Amino acid sequence: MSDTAESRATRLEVPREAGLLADVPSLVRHHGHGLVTVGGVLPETSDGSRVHPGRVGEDVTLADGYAAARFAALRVLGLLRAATGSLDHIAGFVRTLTFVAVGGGFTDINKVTNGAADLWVEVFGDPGGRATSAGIGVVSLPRGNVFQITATVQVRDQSEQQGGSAMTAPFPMTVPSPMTAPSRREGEER
Amino acid sequence: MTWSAEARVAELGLVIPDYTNPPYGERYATMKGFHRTGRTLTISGMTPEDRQGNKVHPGRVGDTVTMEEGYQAARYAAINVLGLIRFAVGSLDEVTAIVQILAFAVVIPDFTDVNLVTNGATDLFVEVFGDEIGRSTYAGIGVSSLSGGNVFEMVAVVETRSSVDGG
Repeated sequence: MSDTAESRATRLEVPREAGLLADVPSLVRHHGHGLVTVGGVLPETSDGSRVHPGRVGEDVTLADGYAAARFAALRVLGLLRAATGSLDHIAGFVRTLTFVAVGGGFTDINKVTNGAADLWVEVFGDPGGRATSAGIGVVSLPRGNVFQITATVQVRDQSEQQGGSAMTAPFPMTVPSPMTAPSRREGEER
Repeated sequence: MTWSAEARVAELGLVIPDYTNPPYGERYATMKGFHRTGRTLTISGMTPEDRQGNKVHPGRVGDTVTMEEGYQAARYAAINVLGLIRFAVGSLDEVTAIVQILAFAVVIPDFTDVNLVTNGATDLFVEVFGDEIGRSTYAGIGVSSLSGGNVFEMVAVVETRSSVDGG
């Protein structure tokens, strides 16, 4: 089996987000230079269940925050697949802005947002899956979620990546169940 | 006479860090320092730290950090951005516009002079690139916390003379 972003993503059960896109078209925007921006993605399932809502440093552990970030990043991949036709059309990650609801003086924002960053490197390889990044600790996020992410990616073909028409494709939408964070390798503070 | 950012940096005596080694961001996360599309250079989140990870005025403005210290931290982070621009495109004279700055300052809830902190970054860009190139679209946001306890972080989008698409 060829080892592509799509094949790796399939093993990770990336959700089919087409139905969601029809409901919330503002989540994805195409613009110049073959860029696609996915906005404001939260760690929620299709029925609106939230993955580990709350604040890291108060009622959410670092590991659960990491898992929530990973879940949201999976949804980003689902949206990108719906918008571009295939994850194999993605040439690179341009930028991510990640927001983590925090309390109690918690400052390890990067260790939470790595839940998203690590997933993309698993799917797209290193350095291909790396994005420029900023992680921001905030007071609150929509519906009490612990994490939110926006991402901009570059697609290989500027014009004919199916674009908006893919958003209405009748994919069955499945969503992975919340997962626990994989153990981080030691010495992550390099 | 044409403006030279590299000449201005020398004039101002700014010490700009070299991001060749160690690689940017390795202390923090699975990330990269920049991405280029066309004439657009996107710079990753930059904090007021030296290459060894020593932080300038960590903490919260209004609490353990004064506004002037916050301003200095913002200026320091902006100088780091200059280092990453050099790393990405070779020279500051490649910059034709600072397109966008998002600036985040850690503040206590009652502190609202976020702009007076983030001016440390925006002033620096005007000093180096001049008003026409260095003045950017901008948003300043007061936040709860930033990675590593830093008081400031900024992301920048820059326009470059040359295009990676060959344009």
